[in-house]
Amino acid sequence: MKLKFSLFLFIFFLVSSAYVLGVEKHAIINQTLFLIFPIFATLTGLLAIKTYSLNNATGKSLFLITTGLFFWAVGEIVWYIFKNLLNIDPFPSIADGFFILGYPFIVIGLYKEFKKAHPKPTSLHRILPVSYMLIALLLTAIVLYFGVYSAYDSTAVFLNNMIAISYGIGDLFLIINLLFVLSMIQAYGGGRLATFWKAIILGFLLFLVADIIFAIYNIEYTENIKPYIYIDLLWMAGYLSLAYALLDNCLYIHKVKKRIQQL
Amino acid sequence: MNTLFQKDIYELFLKYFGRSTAEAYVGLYADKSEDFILLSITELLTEYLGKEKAQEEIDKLKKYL
Repeated sequence: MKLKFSLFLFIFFLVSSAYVLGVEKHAIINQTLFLIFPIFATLTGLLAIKTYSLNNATGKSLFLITTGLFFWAVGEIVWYIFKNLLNIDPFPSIADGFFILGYPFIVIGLYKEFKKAHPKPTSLHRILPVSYMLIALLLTAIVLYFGVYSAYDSTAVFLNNMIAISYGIGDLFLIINLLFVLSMIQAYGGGRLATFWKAIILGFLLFLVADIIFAIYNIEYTENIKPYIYIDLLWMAGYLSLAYALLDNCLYIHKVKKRIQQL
Repeated sequence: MNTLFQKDIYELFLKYFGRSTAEAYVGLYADKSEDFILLSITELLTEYLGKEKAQEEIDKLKKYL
């Protein structure tokens, strides 16, 4: 069975249409639909863990990445409850704790995969083209400015500042992750595993762009003002991209198993 | 068939395709030749890892032959 990318695109455009065409008072419907995506990404992660099992390096890395996705999904659900059901400003809240907690799991999981592809000590600048390093540096500068420097508010309490800045720091780690993933694409050349990592990198890149825009327009976003609320679409596409990568890889592994059984 | 070769193939499949697929491959050892096994592994790995990385893994395997 081949996973259709067009099916994922169709789902994305369907929910995007609801966001764009829907009126502001129906925002809760869109935000409820949004929750499907992080939950779906976590479920595909669980399927990937089942496919690989936990007794090998890939299974363990996927377990860490899925744990990170799980925390992000819990963060999304708690954020949704605070915002839509309890009518409490979700920032800062326990939801932020879950989002921030997700980062180290994902970072460590991806690093373990990177070490599998490059078991010997390796410098990223020796593997990756200069253009990738320059883009990473540019993204780092943007995140440092909007996600760390601008996130600091001298009138806010320490906890608020710490949480706001933690997102920026998490995103800096995400940029390093992207470089790790890029190095894996280089290592796996034109193989199917490279395609898997390309979808993963797209997913994290979308998260990164969404986080940067959110750091700039978080007040407008929290007040459900268009077009700022469309930041959700970037996060949604990020979750979809990760889910597609994980699911497509699982289906491919099952196909390989069938081929072996037919040999 | 060489036990080390078999063990290494299992580890290789475990690493890239997971336990279930690795166990499925073990079933092939009984009635297939080493050449057949090596050819099929090359084909599967090249599709999954790309030519260069697959060759790197195959070269490691050949040490046990």
